[in-house]
Amino acid sequence: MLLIAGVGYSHLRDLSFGTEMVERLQAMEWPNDVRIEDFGYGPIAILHWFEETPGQRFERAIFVGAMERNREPGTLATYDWIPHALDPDDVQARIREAVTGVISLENLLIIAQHFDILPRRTTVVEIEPPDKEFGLSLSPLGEERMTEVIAWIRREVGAAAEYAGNGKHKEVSAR
Amino acid sequence: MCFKNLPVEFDEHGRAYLKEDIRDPYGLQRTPDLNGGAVATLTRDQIEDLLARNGHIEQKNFDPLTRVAGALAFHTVVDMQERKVLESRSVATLFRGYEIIMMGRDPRDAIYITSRACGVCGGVHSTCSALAIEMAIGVRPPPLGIVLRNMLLALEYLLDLPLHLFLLAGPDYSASIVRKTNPALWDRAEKTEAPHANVHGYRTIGEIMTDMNALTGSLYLEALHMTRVAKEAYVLIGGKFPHPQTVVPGGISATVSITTFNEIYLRVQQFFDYSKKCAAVYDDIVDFFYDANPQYKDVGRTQANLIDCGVWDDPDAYDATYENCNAWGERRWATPGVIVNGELVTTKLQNINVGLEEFIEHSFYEGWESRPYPTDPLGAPLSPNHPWNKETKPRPQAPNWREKYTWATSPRWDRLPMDAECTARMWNTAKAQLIPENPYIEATGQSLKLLLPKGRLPEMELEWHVPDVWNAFERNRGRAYCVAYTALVALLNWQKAMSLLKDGKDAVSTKFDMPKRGTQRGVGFWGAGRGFLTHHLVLEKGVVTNYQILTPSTINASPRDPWGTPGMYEEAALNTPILEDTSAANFQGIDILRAVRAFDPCMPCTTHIHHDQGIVTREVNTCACGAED
Repeated sequence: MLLIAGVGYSHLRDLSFGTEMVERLQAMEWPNDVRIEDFGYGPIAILHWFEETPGQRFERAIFVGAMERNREPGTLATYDWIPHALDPDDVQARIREAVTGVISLENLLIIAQHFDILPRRTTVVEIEPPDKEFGLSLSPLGEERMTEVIAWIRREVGAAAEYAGNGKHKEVSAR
Repeated sequence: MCFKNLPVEFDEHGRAYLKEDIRDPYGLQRTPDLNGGAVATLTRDQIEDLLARNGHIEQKNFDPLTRVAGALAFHTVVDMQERKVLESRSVATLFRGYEIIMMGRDPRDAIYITSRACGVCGGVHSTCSALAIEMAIGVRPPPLGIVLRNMLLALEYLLDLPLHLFLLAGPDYSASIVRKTNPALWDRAEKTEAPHANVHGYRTIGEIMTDMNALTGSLYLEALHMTRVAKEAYVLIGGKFPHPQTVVPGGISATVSITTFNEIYLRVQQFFDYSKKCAAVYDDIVDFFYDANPQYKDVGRTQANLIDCGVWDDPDAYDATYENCNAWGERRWATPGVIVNGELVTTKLQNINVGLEEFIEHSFYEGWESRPYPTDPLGAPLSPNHPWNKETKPRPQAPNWREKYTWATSPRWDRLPMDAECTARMWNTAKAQLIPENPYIEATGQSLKLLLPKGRLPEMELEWHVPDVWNAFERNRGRAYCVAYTALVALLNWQKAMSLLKDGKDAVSTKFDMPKRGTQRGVGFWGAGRGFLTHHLVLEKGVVTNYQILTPSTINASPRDPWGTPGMYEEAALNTPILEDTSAANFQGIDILRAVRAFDPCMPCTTHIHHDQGIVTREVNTCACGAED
């Protein structure tokens, strides 16, 4: 089973890239072994979701969301999450945020790794958000990147060979 | 006569009126009588002089280093030789502006928009908003709608309280922290037998502290699990968490059946044993610290001034009207009330409302001139600074300790700083002895007896006593007992719901029409898991023309008021002795952190303490609630 999840808040333009993607993916046809999930909520609730079915059934997960890392706006980064040594104080800090309502892709990954609930292979797709203001729609650059990401996901899933990267897609290691 | 400072008196029928012959009755010229609760503070000039002349007097700042969001910073000046705090300033660093977002909207939007004021306790904002709308438009929910609302919010508290006890505040008392900050205390803990070992299963205090360790301690992990249990029950009524989809004016829009209630009961009953354990753990931890060093009673000490609106309505009493709010308020399972210097001065919601004022002298806002409502709907006088008269006019600027330094306002009741935390719920109820007749909860005047059913542990009566000192430790102990209190209220409402269903009274909401003309006012009197909550609302021609939210963290995090009286966090820190046993270079600030964290500030604000050497050591959380408006 493959899990594709969008992470983030709603209504914050490109900061909502993950949840916006979920809406679009849910309107498409997918094979039975693909599950699309909105992870626009706290990492601890997501932890609870993973601890039971259907959370335990996934061999692979793809998490998509916006992360501000001072890169060029619109930069896409795709990488496999490799479990690594975590600083306990940092994990606790992120849990404090998680239980008090913060939604964050990075917090999710770190907390999920700490509690050992990530699928065997976890891939992350991040966008450096071009537009972070309140609003319902993505920016034009965000839209471009959305098309690329959906095409990439469809290729990964093998559901369609529609990947048509424009050469701007840039793979970087964020860690 | 509950007011000492406001110009309000009562006639022989108990009706409030404005004292006569007072020029500028709500003027700021008269310094309030703090009822013995004045805190010695130094002027900014004195502080600056001390800092310049003494190397052992240092600034210790708890500043936000926020990855995602920030809300609270805490500035202190500490005398490292005398081991005491000379100055403290609470700084809310975010403007939330829900009041401005709500202007001009359909009031029903408030249920969903204000829910987002907090990522933990959205349901209390939705509900408080629904209550305000019900009052404004005159709609009374059916009994089952009221009972379901009570259950929904009891479940929200049942996930909120363990979070505080073991994930947010608990690690401050854990082995890993105590070892680092007070090695001698840790040695003692390892050798001290735990008096309630038969309840929680830990032989020594050291074993309890070890299981309070962040990330690895079993008390920490168990609390994480219990939040899930509460959420599972919560979503059966609310549809989703943390922002429920089923709260509406006039009740609840969820479809419920016997199966729903069975599923809820399976979760609620898990809290009976758990709450016995919470109380036993915190009794042992608190008493251990007191025995080891009585000075711990001064950590976070403030005058016992507490305020709460009460929660959990009696379905036979609640009619959503302001006219009858004193009567239905006093029928709540948690009695509304104000405690001044440890004593209950009122249980009437109208008095709580009339006594409220919000000041902005030290906050990043402009004042306002208009006073559209000189009285409440019953004719009682209202201050120009009352929420129904308030305008939210943000004015961002650089912080200045002498003038404005925070986005939080200074809410006061009868011009006194108030502690708006949830132990007030038990304190009022214990003192007032008005709780409806029931088999599980008894108010004695000085305590609350809580009879918890048998689970794996035997049936057990817990007794929470009104404390003789009000400090960080008692705040935490109070919250631990609140788990039991809340679980029993959930049980009482579950039984009421089953009885209503049996009688065929299965309506969960009342239809209503939104008024399209005229002016209406409403106020939601409720409470978050962590304490006091009100939403004040004014409608004109069917849209919101004023919306004001007062949350527990707004009140607790308040800055100094127009008379220079510190807010609750500030007072708690000022009274806190520095008891940690570390060198200046390794200063952790644990006593100050315990003092502030005991209030359960909830907004995700990764606030780190750093000092002149720039060493980042610890974190503080505060609440979206605190930074609101």
